[in-house]
This record gives sequence, structure tokens and C-alpha cells, in this order.
Amino acid sequence: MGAALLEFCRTTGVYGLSFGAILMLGVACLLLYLAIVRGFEPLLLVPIAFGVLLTNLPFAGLMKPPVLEITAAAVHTVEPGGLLYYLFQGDHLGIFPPLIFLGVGAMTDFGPLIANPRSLLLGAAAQFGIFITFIGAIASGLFTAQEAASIGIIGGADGPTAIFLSSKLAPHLLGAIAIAAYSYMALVPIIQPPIMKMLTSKAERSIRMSQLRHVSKKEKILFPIIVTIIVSLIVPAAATLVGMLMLGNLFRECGVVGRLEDTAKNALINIITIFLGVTVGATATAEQFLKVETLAILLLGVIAFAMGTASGVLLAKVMNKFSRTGINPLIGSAGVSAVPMAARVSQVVGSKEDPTNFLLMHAMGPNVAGVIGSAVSAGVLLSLFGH
Amino acid sequence: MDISELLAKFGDPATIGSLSFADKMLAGLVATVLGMGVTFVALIVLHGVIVLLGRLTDQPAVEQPTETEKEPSAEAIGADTVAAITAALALVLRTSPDSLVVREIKRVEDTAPAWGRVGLIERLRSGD
Repeated sequence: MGAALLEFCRTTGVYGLSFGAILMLGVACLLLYLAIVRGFEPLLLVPIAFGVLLTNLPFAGLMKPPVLEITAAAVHTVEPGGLLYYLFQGDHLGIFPPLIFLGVGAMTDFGPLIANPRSLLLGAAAQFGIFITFIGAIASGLFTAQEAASIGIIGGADGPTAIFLSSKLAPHLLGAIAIAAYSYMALVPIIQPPIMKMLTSKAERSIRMSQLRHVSKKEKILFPIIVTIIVSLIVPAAATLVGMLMLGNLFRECGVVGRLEDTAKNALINIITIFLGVTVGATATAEQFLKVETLAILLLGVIAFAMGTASGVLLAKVMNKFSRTGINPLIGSAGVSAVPMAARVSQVVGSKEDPTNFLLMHAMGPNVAGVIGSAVSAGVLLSLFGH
Repeated sequence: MDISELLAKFGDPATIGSLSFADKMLAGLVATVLGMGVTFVALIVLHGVIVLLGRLTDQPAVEQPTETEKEPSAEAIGADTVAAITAALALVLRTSPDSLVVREIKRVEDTAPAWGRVGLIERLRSGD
């Protein structure tokens, strides 16, 4: 009887609790607190944090791979894997992030970008943060080129892109990178304003921009088709992300597939967000997460955001010098994707100088250009360091 | 060691350890120039195409007062709705839809109070 009781006790999670697991459960609870009480990106952080919680429960085996018996004739599943292991294959095989992009495309209005195509340059400049961080990660000596590229992409401020690239180049760092990317995206209103103010003068922050021209329906329909063809011809590795983004946008703009648009931007993106969030969180097991590398990733991630913001603002300053119509440098910081948070930050910082100056729509141009820019940069990194 | 050889070693996790710090930095710099270069080129080409597109679709690049887009009118009734209403009428009147000619369908503004509407729905339901 006693022996049986002891045996039972050994199968309980309490017996298997390690210090690392307890710490990770604490991290999960902290993230849940930030999401629920503080409202930090709750739609993403709640599933991610709960994924962290689930994966660190001892003996629960939610991320356990299946035990297979491979014979010459067939593959038998001796013991099936955990639920999250199977859902994780959507991240691992790079399926979920492009599907998220489909929904993002269906929600995004590229009108401000078409009306002011110069925004594209700002969207490109802000990707500098990715590469500065990449060099920083290499210089730290802790990471391989693949790992450094995955860390750098945090600077793209684009969760799905970061997950897509790191699942291909450094899957073992996926949890830390995704958590860093989404946490910093939530912290954009805190990280960006001091940098924007430091790099601009009061006069520059008060610049009023001329009203955006009207964009015709025809342009809006042709835009996703043209972008897909051009970007995929230049960087084939970016075709998956850009293609799905633009397909979603075509659903939105073409006006004949309302039901598909509705599914892409509501039901589908919500379902995928649940799967993606929980499984990304589930990669953060104590053994994988509690390392020096994670601290380095968190540090390098914030540098990536800061550098991306700075390079966007600086290019906008230069463009303002050479442009006939004024360009408020504050819109440059929106080039680091993080749609629409970064554009909102431009608006807020601008309205502090002049409450009647509305920069939001102007900032949406670089903001959505940043999504294309970071997908292109991810494509370049993938073709340089994939395989 | 030429640049492509350096990049190949740099890109291989098995051989990156054999590179000196300076070599790694050089390779990182090359990747940065390449990455930013391609990103800029791709987006500059897009810029050109969008400007061209604006001209081709007869949208002058100069600013114009923004027009408010017309919402599709709530009054516009599609052919499907007309068919559905005709079918419903035919059923209620117990005639063939062919013998009915729909000349006009008007949306009636429902100003009845909520309680009145609930009463009406209940009466209609109890009718069958």
C-alpha cells in the first residue's frame, strides 16, 4: 500500500517540479499579469503566456514528440506526441506566420502608401535595425550567423516575420525571439518617443504635411498584384510572406470576395493566433529559455527596435531637406512595422508639439511599407543563411 | 579568402567558429550591405512602379482634395433580394411567382417601439 502510494506520488507533477520549471511558471504568470492587468498586447500575450505555462508543467508532456517505430515497411506511432507538439508543426513548417499575414493583408489599407510612395524608402531605412543587431549578435560571439539573423529580425517589429525566419534558421531560439518581439512591440510607445525626440528639433516635429491625394480603386486593386510580382522576382525567398500579405489585401480591395476577406481578417487570423501564440509560448521550456543567450536576445532585441526607429527618423530628416513638400521626420519611426502602434506613436509625439497636426495617415505609409520592408529583409537573410 | 568563400564559411554553423573576429565582422558587414541594398532596391523599384501606376490610372500626382467615398446605398436592393421577396409573396398568396410582377420595393422605416415589435413577432409566430 505504502509503495503504491509512493509510486503514485512519483507520477504527480509536484514530484517533477524543478527550480527551472517553477521559475518559468513565474515568468508565465508575469506575462499573464502584463497582458490582462496592464493590457500589453493581450491578444498575443495571453496565448503565449499560457503556452509557457502549459509546457513547463512537469510530466504533462504537451510538447512531447511522438515515439515512432520505423521499420523498412512502415512507420508506426508507438506513443502519440503532445497536443502542442502537433500544433507546433504549423510554426515549425512555416505555415502559421504566412496565414497571419493573409489576415494582416485583409486588414491593411495600403492607400496612404500608394498616395505617398516615398514612404517606401522610410520602410526600407527602418530595417537597418535588423542588420545592426545582426552584427551586434555576431560580435557577442554567442551566436551563429543563422541565430544572429533570427535575433536581428526582432528589429523588423513584425511578429509573424520574426517567427517565420527563426523557425527556418534557428528553431531552438523561437520562444525567446517571439517573446522578445511581441513584448517590445507592446513597448513601442515607451521605446520610441525618447529616440524620436532626441533626433529631431522642435521645428521639425511641428512640420505639417500636405494632404494625401485620393487613391483610386483601380490602383488599390493593382497594388497587391504588382507588389507580389516585383518583390518575388527580386527576392524569391520573400514570396511566401509577401504573397500571402498581398493575397489578403487583394481580398479586401477587389470587392468581389467579401466572404473570404471576412474570414481572413476575423475567423482565420484569430484561430491561427491562438495556435501560433500557444505553441510559440510552448517552445519556452526551462531548458531552452533559462540561458545566457535569452538575456542577450532580450538586450539585442531592444537595441534592434531603437536602431530601426533611429534610422527611420534620420532618413526622414534627410528626405525633408531635399523634398519640395515638407516631411515630418516623426513619420520615419513608423517604418519599423508594428502596425498600427508605431504610426500612433508618430501621431502622439507630433501632437505634443502641435495638437492640430495630424500625422497618423502620413505615418501609416511608412508603417505598412515597413511590413513589406521587413518581409523583404527576412527573405534576404533566408536566402543568405538558409540551409 | 574571397568574399563568397568567406560568406559560405560564415553561413555554415560548422565552420563559423574557425573564422577570426575580424573575418566575422567583415562577413557581417557584407551581409548588411547586401541585405540593406536589396531591401532598398526592391522598395525603390516598387516606388517607381507605384508612381507610374498613379500616372497610368489618370491620377495626377499633385494633391487633390480628398473625396469622401460613397457608401453603397442602404436603399439599393439587389436582384437576389427581389427574387426572395417575390418568392415569399408567392408563397403567402398561394400563387405562382410567374403571375406576380414586382414594380417597386421600398424599405419601410421601422419606427415601432421595441415592445410593439416583440408583440408583432409573437402574433406572427402564434399564427401558424
